[in-house]
Amino acid sequence: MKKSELLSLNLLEASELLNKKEISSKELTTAYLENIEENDCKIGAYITVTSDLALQTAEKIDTMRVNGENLSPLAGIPFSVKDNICTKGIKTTCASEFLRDFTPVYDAHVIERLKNFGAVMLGKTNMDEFGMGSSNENSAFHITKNPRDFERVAGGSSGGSAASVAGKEALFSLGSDTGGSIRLPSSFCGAVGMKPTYGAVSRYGLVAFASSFDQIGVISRNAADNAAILDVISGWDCRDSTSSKQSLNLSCDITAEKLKIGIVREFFADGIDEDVLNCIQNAIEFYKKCGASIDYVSLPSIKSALWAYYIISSAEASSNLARFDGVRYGRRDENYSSIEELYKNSRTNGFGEEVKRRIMTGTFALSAGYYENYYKKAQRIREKIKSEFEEIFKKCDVIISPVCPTTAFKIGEYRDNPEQMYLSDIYTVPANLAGLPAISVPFGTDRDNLPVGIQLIGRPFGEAVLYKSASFLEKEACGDDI
Amino acid sequence: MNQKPKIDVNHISQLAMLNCDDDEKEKMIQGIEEILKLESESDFLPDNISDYNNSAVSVYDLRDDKPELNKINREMLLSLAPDKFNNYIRVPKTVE
Repeated sequence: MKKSELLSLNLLEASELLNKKEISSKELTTAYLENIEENDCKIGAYITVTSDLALQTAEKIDTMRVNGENLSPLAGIPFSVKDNICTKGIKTTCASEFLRDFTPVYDAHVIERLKNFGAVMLGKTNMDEFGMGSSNENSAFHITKNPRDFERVAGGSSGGSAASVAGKEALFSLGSDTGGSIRLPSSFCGAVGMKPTYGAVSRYGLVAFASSFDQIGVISRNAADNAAILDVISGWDCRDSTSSKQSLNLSCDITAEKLKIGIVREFFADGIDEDVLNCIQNAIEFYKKCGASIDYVSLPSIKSALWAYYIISSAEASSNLARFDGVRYGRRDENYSSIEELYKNSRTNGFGEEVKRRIMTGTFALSAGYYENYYKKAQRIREKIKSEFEEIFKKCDVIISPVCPTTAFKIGEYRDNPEQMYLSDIYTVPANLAGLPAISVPFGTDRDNLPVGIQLIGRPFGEAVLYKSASFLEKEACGDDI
Repeated sequence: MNQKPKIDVNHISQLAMLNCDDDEKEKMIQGIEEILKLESESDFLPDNISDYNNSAVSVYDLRDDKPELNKINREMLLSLAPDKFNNYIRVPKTVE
């Protein structure tokens, strides 16, 4: 099979061909590694490429297959991993100067699972430093470019992961989503990105940014592939105290005409790009045409969601990142004359501008005299948003919205305008505040042929309905019957 | 909170263990204000919401808080240390 054909296979197709021994994992892995070699200098999806390890794993899987061993559907499938997920013996930098040379001594839970299932890791992908950003411009290494247009951002913070999937540099990728970090880059790059229910996937081995929001999820080419991977990485893990014992049942036989879809009025205020609005209206019309019932609903507290998210996440970040002090691991500044200077110099020179801004904001929000007015108030808003979602899900199966008010913006366009950058997360943070699952699925393009992502938000552990609803849109986008 | 809060950047940077020169102080204040001004009218909150059960997953059903037998040995930890001497992580002298 030609390299271009190999790279065009989706996960389920590749798995079937591997199983029939029509292709080998080594061929498939080599095709991806060659593509990374040729194209990643333009895209910059990866920080570390683990070519030798990938080929060794692929050969091992091929031998096992030849020997007739019973292998999983993921065996021999090449994937990439966001660089804030710990990989034993392989650098995990969080795209930070602080962790430039940090090599974990253990694997994250999700990596253990994928290794056990025989998946082939190609390398670690670029991101905004510690997950803080929406464009990948906050990486200490380089900017990841959008494979659809190299002058535009790939989105963030899992921009390298989304770009690796969209640029055919991996068949799927693991990302993490704290306020939209899987869905936003998936939307910008034209991939499918799922942020699962909080607690559905273990965070063991994920470098913490804001622990009550952080969730590992999957970026893939289509919803079916995404579900297959989530099925493998989800499940209870005793090493994450917030891991849920409720298992994900990803099979669902709901039909489009039985779907009850909610449209949040407050999501459709001013500020949405006209082309994005057209695409979401087309998606709503499509669901209507299929017989789904559409209901207008209200989330009054949504106007404070972004503020509450940035206060709580910054507060948690200031606490989580206090461990980076230059003593036990990571960067240690060479110039110091006291332990306090060691801490301060290591942190000041090790963290980038955006990370320092969030640490300072979080420290401020938690400081004496401000705690009640900021952190505590933000927590109350969070609770109110959660209860408003609960009301909506008494009568709706899914909520439909844009992922972002715009498509991928130009590199540097928002660099001096952090407020505009924060507004990119306006539709994605509510699901994180309430711990709900949400998926981004491409549906249409804008005037510049850039992909537009539709977001579907579901009930806790309602991933199956989201995958099914997303697959209806995918089939419509491809012109297939549903 | 319609009033602009007074941000004592020296105090905050001390708490955060970060150095800030004068240029950076100005930038930091601006940066914090960018985030704080995202707040809209949040005065609609009822007073009775005080219980932070804000996750879709119950936060009351957590694992037992007991130490696990350590699978990470001294050698592995030392391999991560920025500086070491003999069999220990080397840190600066704190007491003269």
